[in-house]
Amino acid sequence: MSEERGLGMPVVFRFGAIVALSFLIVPMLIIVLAGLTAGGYLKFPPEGLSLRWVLAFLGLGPGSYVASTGAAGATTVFIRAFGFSFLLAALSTLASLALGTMAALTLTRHDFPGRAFIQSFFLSPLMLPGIVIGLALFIFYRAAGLGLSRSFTGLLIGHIIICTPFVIRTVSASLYNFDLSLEEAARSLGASPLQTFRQITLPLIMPGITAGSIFSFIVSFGQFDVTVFLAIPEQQTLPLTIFDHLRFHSDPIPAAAGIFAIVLVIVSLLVTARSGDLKAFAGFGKT
Amino acid sequence: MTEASPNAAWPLRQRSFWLVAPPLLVFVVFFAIPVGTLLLLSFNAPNQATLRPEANFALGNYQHFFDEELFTDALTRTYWISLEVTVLSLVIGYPLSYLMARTQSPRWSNLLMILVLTPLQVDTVIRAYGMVIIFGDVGLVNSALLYWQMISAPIPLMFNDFGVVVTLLHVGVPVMVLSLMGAMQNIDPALEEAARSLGANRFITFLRVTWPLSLPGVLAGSLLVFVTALSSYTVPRIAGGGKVVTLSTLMYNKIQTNAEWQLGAAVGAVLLVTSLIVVYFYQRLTQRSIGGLV
Amino acid sequence: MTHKPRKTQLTRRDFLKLAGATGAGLAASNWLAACAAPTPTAAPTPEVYTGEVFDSGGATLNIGIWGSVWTDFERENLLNQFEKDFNCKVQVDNGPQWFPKLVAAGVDNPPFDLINQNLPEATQGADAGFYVPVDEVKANVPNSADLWDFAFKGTGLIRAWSGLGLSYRTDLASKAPESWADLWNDEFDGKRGILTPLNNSFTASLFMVASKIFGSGYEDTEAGLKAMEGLVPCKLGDLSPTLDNWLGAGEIIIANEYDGSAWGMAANGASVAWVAPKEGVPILEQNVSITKGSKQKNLAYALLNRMVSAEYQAKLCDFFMMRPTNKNTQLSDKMKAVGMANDAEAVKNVWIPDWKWWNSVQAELSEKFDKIMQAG
Repeated sequence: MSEERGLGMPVVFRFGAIVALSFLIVPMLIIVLAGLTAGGYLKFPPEGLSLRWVLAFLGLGPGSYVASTGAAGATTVFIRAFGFSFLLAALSTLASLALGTMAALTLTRHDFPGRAFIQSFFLSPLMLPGIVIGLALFIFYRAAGLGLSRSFTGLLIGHIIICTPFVIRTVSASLYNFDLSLEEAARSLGASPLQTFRQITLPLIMPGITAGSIFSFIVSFGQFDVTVFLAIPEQQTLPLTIFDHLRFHSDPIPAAAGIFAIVLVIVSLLVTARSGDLKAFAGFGKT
Repeated sequence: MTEASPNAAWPLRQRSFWLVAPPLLVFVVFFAIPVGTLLLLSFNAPNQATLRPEANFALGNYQHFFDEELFTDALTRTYWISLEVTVLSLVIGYPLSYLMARTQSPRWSNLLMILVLTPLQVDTVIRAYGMVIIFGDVGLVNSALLYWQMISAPIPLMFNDFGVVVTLLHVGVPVMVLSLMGAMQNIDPALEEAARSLGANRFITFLRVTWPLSLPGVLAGSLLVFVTALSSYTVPRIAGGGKVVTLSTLMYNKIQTNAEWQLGAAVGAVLLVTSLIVVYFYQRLTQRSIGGLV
Repeated sequence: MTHKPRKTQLTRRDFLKLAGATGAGLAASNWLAACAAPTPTAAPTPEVYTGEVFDSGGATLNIGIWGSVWTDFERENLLNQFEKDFNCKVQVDNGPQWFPKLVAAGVDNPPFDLINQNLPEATQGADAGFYVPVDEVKANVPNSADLWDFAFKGTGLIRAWSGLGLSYRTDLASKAPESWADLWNDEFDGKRGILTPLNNSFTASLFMVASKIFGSGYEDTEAGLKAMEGLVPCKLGDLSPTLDNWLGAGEIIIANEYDGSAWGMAANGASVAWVAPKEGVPILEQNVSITKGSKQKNLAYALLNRMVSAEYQAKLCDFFMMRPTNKNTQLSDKMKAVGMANDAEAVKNVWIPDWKWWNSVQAELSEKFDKIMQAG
């Protein structure tokens, strides 16, 4: 560890960082270990270690409940719900990135009367609990009669409303003190606005884009309250499936879901990190 | 429109002003109108049979809100908890974020990124259950303290304000860290180096160089953590065990179980209006100290 | 050099583009949605349903039932066959609340045709005029002739029930509780569990029972509130499995729970037993209602008819360890082993509160309950 690093960091920061990390990780370790229990209940310390619940989550091993035929049956409902949540989160993120970046560009480049109000307005979906937004949209969809009620589009819109505020905030932070002359130089050399955005602006605001997409994906994936009202029949998201499961069981399946998600993130981050370090990929590094 | 820079004349900049129109339209149609209509219910008398605002205008629900201790306590408690979570997330998350931004080795920074993101990967409900396992009366902390005979009876660390704050921090800290990362990265180490070479110690360097330059990230992070904590339902419900009444849990009870739409709408309106005011002024204030538009 | 922007022209063009894009977008999503929506069939003529199997012409029946295991069980044992026999599609909504959605959609265009609920929420629906009255349901469901009388005390037909009593840790409690009042014993301070918020079958029944035991009757809400104060300190759970978890871990020693959960825990080896307190046992009912505005009433009645048949009740109740409401249901050995019986003697003490009265006071009581519970 060289002296150049962390010159603005008081020594106490290193200690604080370690405290912060432990605070975040210890409960996660406990949940992971509780999910690896061989027993039937979610508790710590686990009664022996086993992958039975992770397998049950994946639909590969005996299910966490006895099927009506009387024999232990596997269920793929969790993994299917995982896939659906993933798709929904991916689409929400794409749409939120588009809408959020557009809003951030305007808000950080133009000082107009009412700007602070518009900024607050864009943040306001996060100020209300999901039940209000979910119920309001459900009423709206039914009244509008466009067939959005209980449709994928309707559900997607609900998620976009919740996710976009995150993108706006993170991209705005990235656009702070953005040097417009870089864009103008590109334009004066004949680049179209879209080219300029893609090749000049976007790489420079990558940290904000990345942070925004991480937030958006996670928020959409774990979104429960809005989804309860806008859910489509026969295809549940993972949080809804877990909630329904918890009405009947007190087993470690939800912890197994967490283990699966964590493993997936680790694997995907390691795979993408193969082609250079993660920070550079995320744009957090200055080349 | 103010001409703030010599670039104001270029068409590119003019056009970028209207980029806000599509998101604004989406938000007005799919958020402002539906939610506004629902919150209008707050001016109606209680009526289980309808969710459409009616013509009769009354302030009874708001009167009920401000007359009842349950509601006014919830209002103060909600803001107090959110403020605690925001400040603590900043205090805890800032050093971590700085460390991550300054870590040169790819292996370490990958690991740190993964570790910070893990709490967000896990469903809120199970995260809260995990906290109960740690902080409950027969949980790990109490069991350890009892075993080492440091206490004679379990300390209530769950199903109260403490439990809620601690559980909310588990979302707050990662959000704060992620929000700060970009800003931290943009701080040129050369500036810090220069300050140090001029004789400033680490602490002064932090105060005069690092902190001001990280403010955009601090603003983004604190706003996101604050509003997330404000509107959180699952955490006060599970980690608070029904004993921590916030505006969100009140709203849920009114709407989900009591079918008191009109009163629930009033609670929602109070939450929305108060938080809009707080956020608005917070933004104006930080805008001034940051200097640029963010 | 200043370059004067041709602002007006750009602005108008942008607006047109924007309007066009929005319009196209809305139209596109509308079209997509219409493609995905099922074609509605005409409402059936209002005759009394007499139990026959008929071809519904591909209609969609929207029902509300509990999710997870419950939906899986009903799909496999009832709904899949029903879809084949009646040439229809059954869409399931797992709630867990249906009343807000009913109100949002309005009486004439309900999102559900048939809903399985507990009575506190179902009564809200009935009071607001969303459900077909019990007598009309009875007349349209032939199998209802075989149901015990209390099955008609809800908002439709009650098709199964569980007893609400006290679950406790046999190894941690000083002795087995016998009376509801034992829940208030000092030894359980901080170690008793109930569900919150107030307006669910468990806690509402507990409240009313406490009003009777410690006061002048079920409707003596003052006594009930005082009794709730006496329960503090206690732990408040959101769902029954949460209470079970705490019971298993030892966070609580006694809980206001239904019989099936304790039997399940005991079968898994936990030292948990269930007691039917001597003052009486309120029930956790599975109450099925039909919506007044349903366009598939006959189909809904047909499904309800199958739901309350003796054969199906036997299967459902055996799997979930609940008690049937059909007089002719045969109990399995597993059910008899825990002491269930399906005769006049067994059901004579079934008590269904006046949920209509409760619905009129629950909102105010809920707030007082929340305030009391905050303290501990």
